[in-house]
Amino acid sequence: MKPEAFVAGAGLHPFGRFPDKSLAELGAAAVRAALRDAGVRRDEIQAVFCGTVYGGVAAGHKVLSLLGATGVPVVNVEAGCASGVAALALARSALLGGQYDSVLVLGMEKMPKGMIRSSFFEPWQERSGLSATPAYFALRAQRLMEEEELKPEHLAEVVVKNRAHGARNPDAMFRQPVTREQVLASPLVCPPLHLWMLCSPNEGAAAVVLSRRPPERAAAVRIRAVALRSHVYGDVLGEHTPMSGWADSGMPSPSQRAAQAAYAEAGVEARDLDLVECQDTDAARELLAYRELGLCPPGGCRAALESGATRLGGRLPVNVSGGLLSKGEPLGASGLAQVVEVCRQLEGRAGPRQVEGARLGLTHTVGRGANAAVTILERI
Amino acid sequence: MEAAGTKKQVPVREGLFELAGGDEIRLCASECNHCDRAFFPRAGLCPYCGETDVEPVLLDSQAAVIFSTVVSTPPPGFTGPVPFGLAVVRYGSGLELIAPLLCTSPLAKGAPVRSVAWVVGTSDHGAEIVTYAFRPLEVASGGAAESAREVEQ
Repeated sequence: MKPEAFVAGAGLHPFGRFPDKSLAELGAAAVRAALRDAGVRRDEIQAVFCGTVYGGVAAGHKVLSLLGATGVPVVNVEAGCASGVAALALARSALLGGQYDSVLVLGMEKMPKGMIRSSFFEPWQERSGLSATPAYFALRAQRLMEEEELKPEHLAEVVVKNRAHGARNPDAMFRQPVTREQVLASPLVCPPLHLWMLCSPNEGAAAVVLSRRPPERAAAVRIRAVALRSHVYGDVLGEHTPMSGWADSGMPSPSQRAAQAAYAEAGVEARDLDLVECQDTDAARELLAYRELGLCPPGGCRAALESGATRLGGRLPVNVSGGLLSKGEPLGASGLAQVVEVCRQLEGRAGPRQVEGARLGLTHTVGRGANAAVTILERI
Repeated sequence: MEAAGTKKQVPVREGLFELAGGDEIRLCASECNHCDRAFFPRAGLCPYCGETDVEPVLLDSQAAVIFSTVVSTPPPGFTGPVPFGLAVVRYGSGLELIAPLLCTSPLAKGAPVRSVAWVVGTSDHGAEIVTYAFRPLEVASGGAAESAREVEQ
Protein backbone atom coordinates (compact mmCIF):
# COMPACT_ATOMS: atom_id res chain seq x y z
CA MET A 1 0.00 0.00 0.00
CA LYS A 2 1.25 3.46 -0.88
CA PRO A 3 2.48 5.26 2.24
CA GLU A 4 0.56 8.37 3.22
CA ALA A 5 0.96 11.27 5.62
CA PHE A 6 -1.93 12.47 7.76
CA VAL A 7 -2.30 15.53 9.97
CA ALA A 8 -2.86 14.03 13.41
CA GLY A 9 -3.21 17.40 15.11
CA ALA A 10 -2.65 21.12 14.62
CA GLY A 11 -2.12 24.14 16.87
CA LEU A 12 -1.30 27.82 16.83
CA HIS A 13 -0.01 30.59 18.99
CA PRO A 14 -2.13 33.58 17.88
CA PHE A 15 -0.43 36.09 15.57
CA GLY A 16 0.26 39.55 16.99
CA ARG A 17 2.89 41.28 19.11
CA PHE A 18 3.95 39.76 22.41
CA PRO A 19 6.80 41.76 23.95
CA ASP A 20 6.76 39.66 27.11
CA LYS A 21 7.19 36.31 25.36
CA SER A 22 10.33 34.79 23.86
CA LEU A 23 10.33 33.12 20.46
CA ALA A 24 10.73 29.74 22.14
CA GLU A 25 7.67 30.42 24.31
CA LEU A 26 5.58 31.21 21.23
CA GLY A 27 6.77 27.99 19.60
CA ALA A 28 6.16 25.94 22.72
CA ALA A 29 2.55 27.16 22.95
CA ALA A 30 1.88 26.06 19.37
CA VAL A 31 3.56 22.68 19.94
CA ARG A 32 1.57 22.00 23.10
CA ALA A 33 -1.65 22.88 21.26
CA ALA A 34 -0.78 20.55 18.37
CA LEU A 35 0.18 17.65 20.65
CA ARG A 36 -3.02 18.09 22.64
CA ASP A 37 -5.07 18.22 19.45
CA ALA A 38 -3.38 15.05 18.16
CA GLY A 39 -3.65 13.23 21.46
CA VAL A 40 0.05 12.42 21.11
CA ARG A 41 2.54 12.47 23.99
CA ARG A 42 5.80 14.35 23.47
CA ASP A 43 7.78 11.13 23.86
CA GLU A 44 5.90 9.63 20.88
CA ILE A 45 7.39 12.26 18.54
CA GLN A 46 10.34 10.77 16.65
CA ALA A 47 11.71 13.87 14.92
CA VAL A 48 11.14 17.63 14.82
CA PHE A 49 11.33 19.95 11.80
CA CYS A 50 11.27 23.67 12.59
CA GLY A 51 10.93 26.53 10.08
CA THR A 52 12.13 29.99 11.04
CA VAL A 53 13.95 32.83 9.29
CA TYR A 54 15.05 35.12 12.11
CA GLY A 55 15.07 32.52 14.90
CA GLY A 56 18.84 32.21 15.09
CA VAL A 57 20.93 29.31 16.31
CA ALA A 58 19.10 26.10 17.29
CA ALA A 59 15.69 27.77 17.41
CA GLY A 60 13.72 24.52 17.37
CA HIS A 61 15.97 22.98 20.02
CA LYS A 62 15.21 25.89 22.34
CA VAL A 63 11.48 25.22 21.99
CA LEU A 64 11.96 21.59 22.96
CA SER A 65 14.07 22.63 25.94
CA LEU A 66 10.95 24.31 27.33
CA LEU A 67 8.78 21.24 26.77
CA GLY A 68 10.89 18.43 28.16
CA ALA A 69 13.29 17.47 25.39
CA THR A 70 13.46 13.78 24.48
CA GLY A 71 16.70 13.63 22.47
CA VAL A 72 15.12 13.13 19.03
CA PRO A 73 16.55 14.68 15.83
CA VAL A 74 15.72 18.38 15.40
CA VAL A 75 16.22 20.11 12.04
CA ASN A 76 15.91 23.87 11.65
CA VAL A 77 14.90 25.02 8.18
CA GLU A 78 15.10 28.43 6.49
CA ALA A 79 13.30 29.04 3.20
CA GLY A 80 12.07 32.62 3.49
CA CYS A 81 8.29 32.95 3.64
CA ALA A 82 8.03 29.24 2.81
CA SER A 83 10.11 28.10 5.81
CA GLY A 84 7.26 26.46 7.72
CA VAL A 85 6.09 24.56 4.66
CA ALA A 86 9.67 23.60 3.78
CA ALA A 87 9.83 22.00 7.24
CA LEU A 88 6.54 20.25 6.48
CA ALA A 89 7.92 18.97 3.17
CA LEU A 90 10.98 17.45 4.86
CA ALA A 91 8.87 15.92 7.63
CA ARG A 92 6.45 14.40 5.17
CA SER A 93 9.25 12.97 3.03
CA ALA A 94 10.75 11.35 6.12
CA LEU A 95 7.36 9.79 6.95
CA LEU A 96 6.69 8.59 3.43
CA GLY A 97 10.21 7.16 3.24
CA GLY A 98 9.41 5.01 6.25
CA GLN A 99 11.94 6.70 8.53
CA TYR A 100 9.39 7.74 11.16
CA ASP A 101 5.77 7.12 12.14
CA SER A 102 5.11 10.36 13.99
CA VAL A 103 6.85 13.72 13.57
CA LEU A 104 6.35 17.30 14.70
CA VAL A 105 6.48 20.29 12.35
CA LEU A 106 6.85 23.78 13.78
CA GLY A 107 6.98 27.24 12.21
CA MET A 108 7.61 30.33 14.29
CA GLU A 109 8.84 33.91 14.15
CA LYS A 110 9.27 37.03 16.23
CA MET A 111 9.85 40.12 14.10
CA PRO A 112 10.19 43.83 14.75
CA LYS A 113 7.65 46.31 13.40
CA GLY A 114 8.10 48.02 10.06
CA MET A 115 10.29 47.27 7.07
CA ILE A 116 12.10 43.98 7.49
CA ARG A 117 15.90 44.04 7.60
CA SER A 118 17.19 40.99 5.80
CA SER A 119 20.67 39.56 5.35
CA PHE A 120 19.44 38.74 1.84
CA PHE A 121 20.63 42.20 0.78
CA GLU A 122 24.33 43.01 0.55
CA PRO A 123 25.53 46.12 2.45
CA TRP A 124 26.01 48.01 -0.86
CA GLN A 125 22.39 47.26 -1.80
CA GLU A 126 21.18 48.58 1.56
CA ARG A 127 23.30 51.72 1.15
CA SER A 128 21.84 52.19 -2.34
CA GLY A 129 18.22 52.16 -1.12
CA LEU A 130 17.58 48.76 -2.70
CA SER A 131 16.35 47.05 0.50
CA ALA A 132 12.94 48.77 0.45
CA THR A 133 10.80 45.62 0.33
CA PRO A 134 7.40 47.38 -0.01
CA ALA A 135 8.74 49.18 -3.11
CA TYR A 136 9.29 45.83 -4.85
CA PHE A 137 5.73 44.85 -3.90
CA ALA A 138 4.55 48.18 -5.35
CA LEU A 139 6.35 47.65 -8.66
CA ARG A 140 4.88 44.14 -8.99
CA ALA A 141 1.47 45.56 -8.12
CA GLN A 142 1.80 48.15 -10.89
CA ARG A 143 2.65 45.47 -13.43
CA LEU A 144 -0.33 43.35 -12.34
CA MET A 145 -2.65 46.37 -12.43
CA GLU A 146 -1.58 47.03 -16.00
CA GLU A 147 -1.94 43.41 -17.08
CA GLU A 148 -5.25 42.82 -15.32
CA GLU A 149 -6.79 46.28 -15.70
CA LEU A 150 -7.02 46.82 -11.97
CA LYS A 151 -7.56 50.08 -10.11
CA PRO A 152 -6.52 50.94 -6.53
CA GLU A 153 -10.17 50.30 -5.57
CA HIS A 154 -9.71 46.64 -6.51
CA LEU A 155 -6.68 46.34 -4.26
CA ALA A 156 -8.70 47.95 -1.47
CA GLU A 157 -11.48 45.42 -2.07
CA VAL A 158 -9.07 42.55 -1.35
CA VAL A 159 -8.28 44.17 2.01
CA VAL A 160 -11.99 44.65 2.77
CA LYS A 161 -12.64 40.98 1.99
CA ASN A 162 -9.76 39.61 4.05
CA ARG A 163 -10.35 41.90 7.00
CA ALA A 164 -14.01 40.83 7.04
CA HIS A 165 -12.76 37.25 7.25
CA GLY A 166 -10.19 38.18 9.90
CA ALA A 167 -12.96 39.61 12.08
CA ARG A 168 -14.11 35.99 12.46
CA ASN A 169 -10.67 34.67 13.45
CA PRO A 170 -9.67 35.03 17.11
CA ASP A 171 -6.04 34.18 16.19
CA ALA A 172 -5.68 37.18 13.83
CA MET A 173 -3.93 40.42 14.85
CA PHE A 174 -6.43 42.75 13.12
CA ARG A 175 -10.03 41.79 13.85
CA GLN A 176 -11.89 44.95 12.83
CA PRO A 177 -13.65 45.03 9.44
CA VAL A 178 -12.62 47.97 7.23
CA THR A 179 -14.20 49.84 4.33
CA ARG A 180 -12.75 50.53 0.91
CA GLU A 181 -12.68 54.25 1.73
CA GLN A 182 -10.72 53.63 4.94
CA VAL A 183 -8.15 51.50 3.08
CA LEU A 184 -7.64 54.16 0.41
CA ALA A 185 -7.40 56.85 3.12
CA SER A 186 -4.62 54.99 4.97
CA PRO A 187 -1.12 56.43 4.36
CA LEU A 188 0.40 55.86 0.93
CA VAL A 189 3.54 53.79 1.61
CA CYS A 190 4.83 53.12 -1.91
CA PRO A 191 2.41 54.05 -4.72
CA PRO A 192 0.03 52.37 -5.44
CA LEU A 193 0.18 50.53 -2.09
CA HIS A 194 -1.40 52.10 0.99
CA LEU A 195 -0.45 51.01 4.49
CA TRP A 196 -3.51 48.79 4.98
CA MET A 197 -2.81 47.01 1.69
CA LEU A 198 0.44 45.66 3.20
CA CYS A 199 0.69 42.89 5.77
CA SER A 200 2.47 43.64 9.05
CA PRO A 201 5.55 41.67 10.09
CA ASN A 202 4.71 40.32 13.55
CA GLU A 203 4.98 37.30 15.85
CA GLY A 204 3.38 33.90 16.08
CA ALA A 205 3.80 30.17 15.76
CA ALA A 206 2.08 27.17 14.19
CA ALA A 207 2.61 23.44 14.64
CA VAL A 208 1.27 20.19 13.23
CA VAL A 209 1.82 16.56 14.16
CA LEU A 210 2.12 14.27 11.15
CA SER A 211 1.44 10.55 11.29
CA ARG A 212 1.62 7.62 8.90
CA ARG A 213 -1.66 6.36 10.34
CA PRO A 214 -4.98 8.15 9.87
CA PRO A 215 -6.06 9.80 13.13
CA GLU A 216 -9.08 8.35 14.93
CA ARG A 217 -11.50 11.20 14.50
CA ALA A 218 -14.59 11.80 12.41
CA ALA A 219 -12.89 14.07 9.89
CA ALA A 220 -9.20 13.47 9.30
CA VAL A 221 -6.87 15.31 6.95
CA ARG A 222 -4.57 13.63 4.47
CA ILE A 223 -1.72 15.53 2.79
CA ARG A 224 -2.21 15.02 -0.93
CA ALA A 225 0.73 17.12 -2.09
CA VAL A 226 3.54 19.38 -0.91
CA ALA A 227 5.61 21.16 -3.54
CA LEU A 228 8.52 23.52 -3.04
CA ARG A 229 9.98 25.43 -5.94
CA SER A 230 12.47 28.24 -6.51
CA HIS A 231 13.16 30.63 -9.38
CA VAL A 232 14.74 30.66 -12.78
CA TYR A 233 16.73 33.82 -13.50
CA GLY A 234 14.92 36.13 -15.89
CA ASP A 235 12.02 38.17 -14.54
CA VAL A 236 13.37 41.46 -13.22
CA LEU A 237 10.44 41.63 -10.76
CA GLY A 238 10.76 38.00 -9.66
CA GLU A 239 10.77 37.18 -5.95
CA HIS A 240 14.45 36.28 -6.21
CA THR A 241 14.86 40.09 -6.20
CA PRO A 242 17.52 40.42 -8.91
CA MET A 243 19.06 43.72 -9.97
CA SER A 244 18.55 42.91 -13.65
CA GLY A 245 16.43 40.76 -15.94
CA TRP A 246 14.63 40.81 -19.26
CA ALA A 247 11.32 42.09 -20.48
CA ASP A 248 8.88 39.27 -21.18
CA SER A 249 11.15 36.53 -19.91
CA GLY A 250 8.24 34.13 -20.34
CA MET A 251 9.44 31.94 -17.47
CA PRO A 252 6.89 30.36 -15.11
CA SER A 253 7.10 31.96 -11.67
CA PRO A 254 8.10 29.96 -8.58
CA SER A 255 4.42 29.95 -7.53
CA GLN A 256 3.32 28.60 -10.92
CA ARG A 257 5.96 25.90 -10.74
CA ALA A 258 4.95 24.88 -7.23
CA ALA A 259 1.23 24.88 -8.09
CA GLN A 260 1.72 22.78 -11.22
CA ALA A 261 3.80 20.26 -9.26
CA ALA A 262 1.24 20.08 -6.44
CA TYR A 263 -1.75 19.62 -8.77
CA ALA A 264 0.16 16.89 -10.62
CA GLU A 265 1.11 15.07 -7.43
CA ALA A 266 -2.43 15.26 -6.01
CA GLY A 267 -4.07 14.43 -9.33
CA VAL A 268 -6.51 17.31 -8.94
CA GLU A 269 -7.23 20.60 -10.69
CA ALA A 270 -7.89 24.09 -9.40
CA ARG A 271 -11.63 23.66 -10.06
CA ASP A 272 -11.72 20.76 -7.56
CA LEU A 273 -10.70 23.03 -4.66
CA ASP A 274 -13.11 24.18 -1.93
CA LEU A 275 -10.86 26.81 -0.33
CA VAL A 276 -7.47 28.46 -0.74
CA GLU A 277 -5.11 30.21 1.67
CA CYS A 278 -2.68 32.25 -0.44
CA GLN A 279 0.14 34.74 -0.02
CA ASP A 280 -1.43 38.17 0.51
CA THR A 281 1.70 40.00 1.70
CA ASP A 282 0.08 42.84 -0.18
CA ALA A 283 -3.36 43.11 -1.70
CA ALA A 284 -2.10 42.80 -5.28
CA ARG A 285 -0.15 39.68 -4.36
CA GLU A 286 -3.40 37.84 -3.61
CA LEU A 287 -4.80 38.73 -7.05
CA LEU A 288 -1.58 37.60 -8.72
CA ALA A 289 -1.88 34.31 -6.85
CA TYR A 290 -5.35 33.73 -8.37
CA ARG A 291 -3.67 33.63 -11.77
CA GLU A 292 -0.54 31.72 -10.74
CA LEU A 293 -2.56 29.04 -8.95
CA GLY A 294 -4.92 28.67 -11.90
CA LEU A 295 -7.95 29.90 -9.94
CA CYS A 296 -8.66 32.21 -12.88
CA PRO A 297 -7.31 32.55 -16.42
CA PRO A 298 -4.81 35.32 -17.30
CA GLY A 299 -6.83 38.53 -17.47
CA GLY A 300 -9.41 37.12 -15.06
CA CYS A 301 -8.18 38.39 -11.67
CA ARG A 302 -10.58 41.32 -11.60
CA ALA A 303 -13.60 39.22 -12.55
CA ALA A 304 -12.69 36.61 -9.93
CA LEU A 305 -12.60 39.31 -7.26
CA GLU A 306 -15.71 41.21 -8.40
CA SER A 307 -17.79 38.05 -8.71
CA GLY A 308 -17.51 37.49 -4.97
CA ALA A 309 -16.33 33.93 -5.62
CA THR A 310 -13.35 34.38 -3.29
CA ARG A 311 -15.40 35.67 -0.33
CA LEU A 312 -16.63 33.43 2.46
CA GLY A 313 -19.85 32.00 1.03
CA GLY A 314 -18.54 32.27 -2.54
CA ARG A 315 -17.67 29.41 -4.85
CA LEU A 316 -13.97 29.31 -3.87
CA PRO A 317 -13.25 31.33 -0.71
CA VAL A 318 -9.67 32.65 -0.52
CA ASN A 319 -8.02 33.53 2.80
CA VAL A 320 -10.99 32.83 5.06
CA SER A 321 -8.50 32.99 7.95
CA GLY A 322 -8.24 36.71 7.19
CA GLY A 323 -4.98 36.18 5.34
CA LEU A 324 -1.73 37.86 6.21
CA LEU A 325 -3.54 41.19 5.83
CA SER A 326 -5.49 40.34 9.01
CA LYS A 327 -3.12 37.98 10.77
CA GLY A 328 0.18 39.72 10.05
CA GLU A 329 3.18 37.81 8.77
CA PRO A 330 5.56 36.03 11.12
CA LEU A 331 7.66 34.59 8.27
CA GLY A 332 8.46 31.12 9.57
CA ALA A 333 4.96 30.60 10.95
CA SER A 334 2.74 32.02 8.24
CA GLY A 335 2.85 29.15 5.72
CA LEU A 336 2.31 26.49 8.35
CA ALA A 337 -0.53 28.53 9.87
CA GLN A 338 -2.24 28.36 6.47
CA VAL A 339 -2.00 24.57 6.75
CA VAL A 340 -3.48 24.73 10.26
CA GLU A 341 -6.36 26.87 8.95
CA VAL A 342 -7.12 24.48 6.08
CA CYS A 343 -7.04 21.52 8.48
CA ARG A 344 -9.55 23.24 10.77
CA GLN A 345 -11.75 23.97 7.77
CA LEU A 346 -11.59 20.41 6.43
CA GLU A 347 -12.32 19.04 9.88
CA GLY A 348 -15.34 21.33 10.18
CA ARG A 349 -13.90 23.12 13.20
CA ALA A 350 -13.54 26.67 11.84
CA GLY A 351 -16.49 28.16 13.72
CA PRO A 352 -17.95 31.38 12.28
CA ARG A 353 -15.66 31.29 9.23
CA GLN A 354 -16.39 27.68 8.30
CA VAL A 355 -16.50 26.92 4.57
CA GLU A 356 -19.46 24.55 4.45
CA GLY A 357 -18.65 21.06 3.24
CA ALA A 358 -14.99 21.78 2.48
CA ARG A 359 -13.17 18.63 1.33
CA LEU A 360 -10.12 19.89 -0.59
CA GLY A 361 -7.96 22.90 0.27
CA LEU A 362 -4.76 24.49 -1.02
CA THR A 363 -2.15 26.64 0.69
CA HIS A 364 0.36 28.89 -1.08
CA THR A 365 3.32 30.90 0.12
CA VAL A 366 6.05 32.65 -1.82
CA GLY A 367 8.83 34.99 -0.88
CA ARG A 368 12.40 35.99 -1.01
CA GLY A 369 14.88 33.52 -2.36
CA ALA A 370 12.74 32.89 -4.34
CA ASN A 371 10.87 30.27 -2.35
CA ALA A 372 7.39 29.10 -3.23
CA ALA A 373 5.41 26.34 -1.53
CA VAL A 374 2.01 24.84 -2.30
CA THR A 375 0.23 22.15 -0.31
CA ILE A 376 -3.00 20.33 -1.11
CA LEU A 377 -4.93 18.84 1.80
CA GLU A 378 -7.97 16.58 1.71
CA ARG A 379 -10.58 15.45 4.20
CA ILE A 380 -10.98 11.68 4.34
CA MET B 1 31.81 75.07 2.00
CA GLU B 2 33.25 73.08 -0.84
CA ALA B 3 31.88 73.46 -4.35
CA ALA B 4 29.78 70.54 -5.52
CA GLY B 5 31.87 67.88 -7.20
CA THR B 6 35.17 68.75 -5.54
CA LYS B 7 34.57 66.61 -2.48
CA LYS B 8 36.29 63.25 -2.53
CA GLN B 9 33.89 60.49 -3.54
CA VAL B 10 33.99 56.74 -2.97
CA PRO B 11 31.69 54.27 -4.73
CA VAL B 12 29.33 52.19 -2.58
CA ARG B 13 30.98 49.18 -4.22
CA GLU B 14 33.83 48.91 -6.72
CA GLY B 15 32.95 47.82 -10.21
CA LEU B 16 29.31 48.99 -10.32
CA PHE B 17 29.80 51.98 -12.63
CA GLU B 18 32.28 54.26 -14.40
CA LEU B 19 32.14 58.06 -14.38
CA ALA B 20 31.17 59.52 -17.76
CA GLY B 21 31.57 63.28 -17.25
CA GLY B 22 29.64 65.55 -14.87
CA ASP B 23 27.44 63.38 -12.69
CA GLU B 24 26.71 60.98 -15.55
CA ILE B 25 27.80 57.37 -15.14
CA ARG B 26 27.70 54.19 -17.18
CA LEU B 27 26.84 50.96 -15.43
CA CYS B 28 29.23 48.01 -15.60
CA ALA B 29 27.43 44.91 -16.82
CA SER B 30 28.42 41.60 -18.36
CA GLU B 31 27.33 39.75 -21.46
CA CYS B 32 27.34 35.98 -21.74
CA ASN B 33 28.86 34.56 -24.92
CA HIS B 34 27.14 31.25 -24.24
CA CYS B 35 23.49 32.40 -23.97
CA ASP B 36 23.84 35.97 -25.28
CA ARG B 37 22.22 37.52 -22.22
CA ALA B 38 23.39 40.65 -20.42
CA PHE B 39 23.19 41.10 -16.67
CA PHE B 40 24.03 43.60 -13.93
CA PRO B 41 26.02 43.89 -11.70
CA ARG B 42 29.07 42.57 -13.51
CA ALA B 43 30.12 39.05 -12.53
CA GLY B 44 32.26 36.22 -13.81
CA LEU B 45 29.40 33.71 -13.92
CA CYS B 46 26.26 34.05 -16.01
CA PRO B 47 23.16 33.91 -13.75
CA TYR B 48 21.06 32.56 -16.64
CA CYS B 49 23.18 29.59 -17.68
CA GLY B 50 26.02 29.33 -15.16
CA GLU B 51 28.73 29.55 -17.83
CA THR B 52 31.97 31.49 -17.32
CA ASP B 53 32.42 32.74 -20.89
CA VAL B 54 31.25 36.25 -20.07
CA GLU B 55 32.71 39.60 -21.05
CA PRO B 56 32.45 43.06 -19.52
CA VAL B 57 30.24 45.65 -21.22
CA LEU B 58 29.26 49.21 -20.36
CA LEU B 59 25.53 49.99 -20.52
CA ASP B 60 24.16 53.07 -22.30
CA SER B 61 23.53 55.98 -19.99
CA GLN B 62 19.96 56.32 -21.36
CA ALA B 63 17.04 54.06 -20.55
CA ALA B 64 13.25 54.31 -20.15
CA VAL B 65 11.14 53.95 -17.03
CA ILE B 66 8.69 51.04 -17.09
CA PHE B 67 7.32 51.12 -13.53
CA SER B 68 8.26 53.43 -10.68
CA THR B 69 7.28 53.99 -7.08
CA VAL B 70 8.45 56.18 -4.23
CA VAL B 71 10.10 55.31 -0.92
CA SER B 72 9.45 57.87 1.82
CA THR B 73 10.79 56.03 4.88
CA PRO B 74 14.51 55.17 4.89
CA PRO B 75 14.76 51.42 4.27
CA PRO B 76 17.03 49.28 6.49
CA GLY B 77 20.70 50.25 6.22
CA PHE B 78 20.03 53.31 4.04
CA THR B 79 21.41 56.68 5.16
CA GLY B 80 20.72 58.71 2.01
CA PRO B 81 17.98 61.25 1.39
CA VAL B 82 14.27 60.41 1.23
CA PRO B 83 11.97 60.43 -0.58
CA PHE B 84 13.51 58.69 -3.55
CA GLY B 85 12.12 56.44 -6.25
CA LEU B 86 12.62 52.80 -7.11
CA ALA B 87 12.03 51.83 -10.72
CA VAL B 88 12.14 49.18 -13.37
CA VAL B 89 14.05 50.76 -16.25
CA ARG B 90 14.51 49.23 -19.69
CA TYR B 91 17.34 49.62 -22.18
CA GLY B 92 16.87 49.42 -25.94
CA SER B 93 18.33 45.90 -25.84
CA GLY B 94 15.46 44.69 -23.63
CA LEU B 95 17.66 44.45 -20.53
CA GLU B 96 15.76 45.67 -17.47
CA LEU B 97 17.16 46.94 -14.18
CA ILE B 98 15.77 47.62 -10.74
CA ALA B 99 17.35 50.90 -9.75
CA PRO B 100 16.93 53.99 -7.59
CA LEU B 101 15.20 56.83 -9.43
CA LEU B 102 15.63 60.46 -8.44
CA CYS B 103 11.99 61.50 -8.22
CA THR B 104 9.40 62.33 -5.59
CA SER B 105 6.39 60.84 -7.41
CA PRO B 106 6.07 58.00 -9.92
CA LEU B 107 7.07 58.82 -13.52
CA ALA B 108 4.99 58.04 -16.59
CA LYS B 109 5.72 54.81 -18.38
CA GLY B 110 8.33 55.37 -21.07
CA ALA B 111 9.83 58.48 -19.45
CA PRO B 112 13.48 58.78 -20.55
CA VAL B 113 16.09 58.68 -17.81
CA ARG B 114 19.88 58.67 -17.63
CA SER B 115 22.22 57.00 -15.18
CA VAL B 116 23.87 59.32 -12.68
CA ALA B 117 25.99 59.19 -9.53
CA TRP B 118 23.91 59.61 -6.37
CA VAL B 119 25.35 60.63 -3.01
CA VAL B 120 23.90 58.38 -0.27
CA GLY B 121 26.12 59.05 2.72
CA THR B 122 29.52 59.99 4.13
CA SER B 123 32.36 57.58 4.81
CA ASP B 124 34.33 57.46 8.08
CA HIS B 125 37.00 59.54 6.30
CA GLY B 126 34.57 62.27 5.24
CA ALA B 127 34.26 61.23 1.60
CA GLU B 128 30.90 61.14 -0.15
CA ILE B 129 29.58 57.62 -0.66
CA VAL B 130 28.19 57.37 -4.17
CA THR B 131 25.90 54.83 -5.78
CA TYR B 132 24.03 54.65 -9.07
CA ALA B 133 20.58 56.01 -9.80
CA PHE B 134 18.53 57.21 -12.74
CA ARG B 135 17.39 60.79 -13.26
CA PRO B 136 14.58 62.03 -15.51
CA LEU B 137 16.04 63.61 -18.67
CA GLU B 138 13.86 66.72 -18.53
CA VAL B 139 15.24 67.81 -15.18
CA ALA B 140 18.71 69.37 -15.37
CA SER B 141 19.50 68.83 -11.68
CA GLY B 142 17.29 66.51 -9.67
CA GLY B 143 15.76 67.43 -6.34
CA ALA B 144 16.87 64.27 -4.58
CA ALA B 145 20.52 64.80 -5.52
CA GLU B 146 20.34 68.39 -4.30
CA SER B 147 18.90 67.34 -0.97
CA ALA B 148 21.69 64.77 -0.71
CA ARG B 149 24.15 67.64 -0.71
CA GLU B 150 22.06 69.50 1.83
CA VAL B 151 22.36 66.54 4.12
CA GLU B 152 26.11 66.65 3.68
CA GLN B 153 26.43 70.32 4.67
